[in-house]
Amino acid sequence: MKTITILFLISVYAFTAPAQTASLLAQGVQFYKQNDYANAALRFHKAMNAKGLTAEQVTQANYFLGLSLYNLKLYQASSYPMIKVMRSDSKKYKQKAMEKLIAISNRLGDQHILDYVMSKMQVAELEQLAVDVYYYKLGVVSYEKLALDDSIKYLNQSVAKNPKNEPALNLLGLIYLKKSEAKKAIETYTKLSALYEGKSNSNIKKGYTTLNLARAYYQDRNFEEAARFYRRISKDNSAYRESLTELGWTYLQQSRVRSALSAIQTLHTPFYENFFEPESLVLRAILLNYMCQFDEAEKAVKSFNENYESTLNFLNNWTGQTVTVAKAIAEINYATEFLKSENGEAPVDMNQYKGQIPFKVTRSILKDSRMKNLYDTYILIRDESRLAKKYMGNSKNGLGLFLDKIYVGRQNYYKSELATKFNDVIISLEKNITYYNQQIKFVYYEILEAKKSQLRLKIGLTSKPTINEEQNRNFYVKNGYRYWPFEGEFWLDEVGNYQYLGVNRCEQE
Amino acid sequence: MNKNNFLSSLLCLCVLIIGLSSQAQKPPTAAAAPAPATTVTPAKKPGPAAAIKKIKIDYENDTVLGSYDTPDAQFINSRRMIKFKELFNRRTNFIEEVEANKGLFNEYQK
Repeated sequence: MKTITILFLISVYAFTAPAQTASLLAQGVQFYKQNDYANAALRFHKAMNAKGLTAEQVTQANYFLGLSLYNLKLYQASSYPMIKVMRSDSKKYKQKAMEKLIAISNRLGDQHILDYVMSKMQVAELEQLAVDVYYYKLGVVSYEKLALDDSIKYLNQSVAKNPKNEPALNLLGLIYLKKSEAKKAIETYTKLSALYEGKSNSNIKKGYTTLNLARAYYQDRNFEEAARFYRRISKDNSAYRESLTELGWTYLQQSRVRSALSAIQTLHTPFYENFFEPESLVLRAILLNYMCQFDEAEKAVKSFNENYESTLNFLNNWTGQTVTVAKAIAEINYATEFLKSENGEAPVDMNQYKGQIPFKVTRSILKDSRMKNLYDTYILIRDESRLAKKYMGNSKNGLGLFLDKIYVGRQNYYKSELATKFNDVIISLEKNITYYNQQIKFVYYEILEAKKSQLRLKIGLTSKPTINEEQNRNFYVKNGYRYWPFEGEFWLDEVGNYQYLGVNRCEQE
Repeated sequence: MNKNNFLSSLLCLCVLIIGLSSQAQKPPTAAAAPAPATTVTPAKKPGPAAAIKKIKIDYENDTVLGSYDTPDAQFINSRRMIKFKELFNRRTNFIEEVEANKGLFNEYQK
């Protein structure tokens, strides 16, 4: 009797299970059509794990689960079922899943997803799908293998298919610079620049494209044009600060010493005191020494020593110890929190900074695009994880556990990647400061030598003026005040409007 | 009863008159005064529009176009600068910097 009952129950289950699963799918579709994506995702996830579905139905459940999660803005989670669909043989859903994965990769800034999609694509599928992205990826792979000519060929094919392919155009420009074909780089960056016409001047890509265009002119030794493009970068663009040292170098190449000092001077104002700028201080000391402005040159040396000798010690300590992921992430978090308060209205108190590495160093590391991309993706995934918890609450249903597993795993992966990159960038900065530290010592030695020889020459001569007093300077009121060109008024310190008035005080040797 | 009503009305009227007169004498409060547009005050106004224009042109020629700064022909090859040739040679291009911001353009646009 007992056996008969069990057999009966099994047969009932065998008949009704597929019907229940199919009903779950139907319910899911119903919720999806009503834009109730959370409930739709729950049904599709349940259906996906239930028995009795055909292979096509499993693919359908995965595809709609992916779509529902995508619409819930859980992009990282949506990539998992989409990858399953991409691996299936479904003619109906496979291509759609690929397109969605490209969109997900774009949303998250995660190149790995894009790489994976490209590696699984067949040539036949290319015509319908993003051919330009495919060629771009081939260009990237060739670039990484240092096959620059092949890379140029693929990138040109990519741009021919989609003239708006920004990463392809930017990489193409970079390769031309590396091949010392600056004129072609100028042409490429000009095309890229045209894509940002009409966009706000504070647009980061617009700013950096102008900066790269200026750099291409600089490499072409067309310093006049380089200076013109450097000056075009808006002051509220994050590329502006970077442009100042380079503008200084441009003027230096034109032998316009005072203009070079004017550009660099902005970097040494309180507005930029929390930024990492060792190079500009060395350059400033060299230029002032050239003009025999020894007092000011020594001030620049002193400022370097005060700011960067201790920084070098911190970095030496950091690289000399075993750095855990948690420790590196803590440094990143301290700097990120501080950056937020710096952008806020409340004044920032540097004594409150808890990081082991100076803030100016960590903020530079975060700005490095290798770190920035990783960090941005990590933040997106962390926010998605919080959003997923909000949707699922405390319920420990299958979908909740599925999402938990994904987000915990991905966050740990990104933390570990961030820590590795963070330490890599620290090592390169340490080398950088060590080099400039040697240079500033050399500059200081040169200052002392020049001072001695100038003293010998000056014995018995009248002193030269320190500034050019003959030139009409009616827009200068007094020290500390600068002309504000927009309303014709005089204001206190104005970033970017400094003008160095010192003259060359050297006696002929 | 009528007398009481009359007295209370009189009292109310007095309070009203005193209240209104004291309000009328009050100076405007600090909160009502318009806030200054900015904390930085100009040191000097340059005067008529023509003078502003002249100063503006001077400023742009001098600072923006850098005409105040005659190129120093001896600079790059001067004895003092030759010593920093190694540092100067590091800056014949900015490829490293272009590479560092390559990732900013990764976002795909169709």
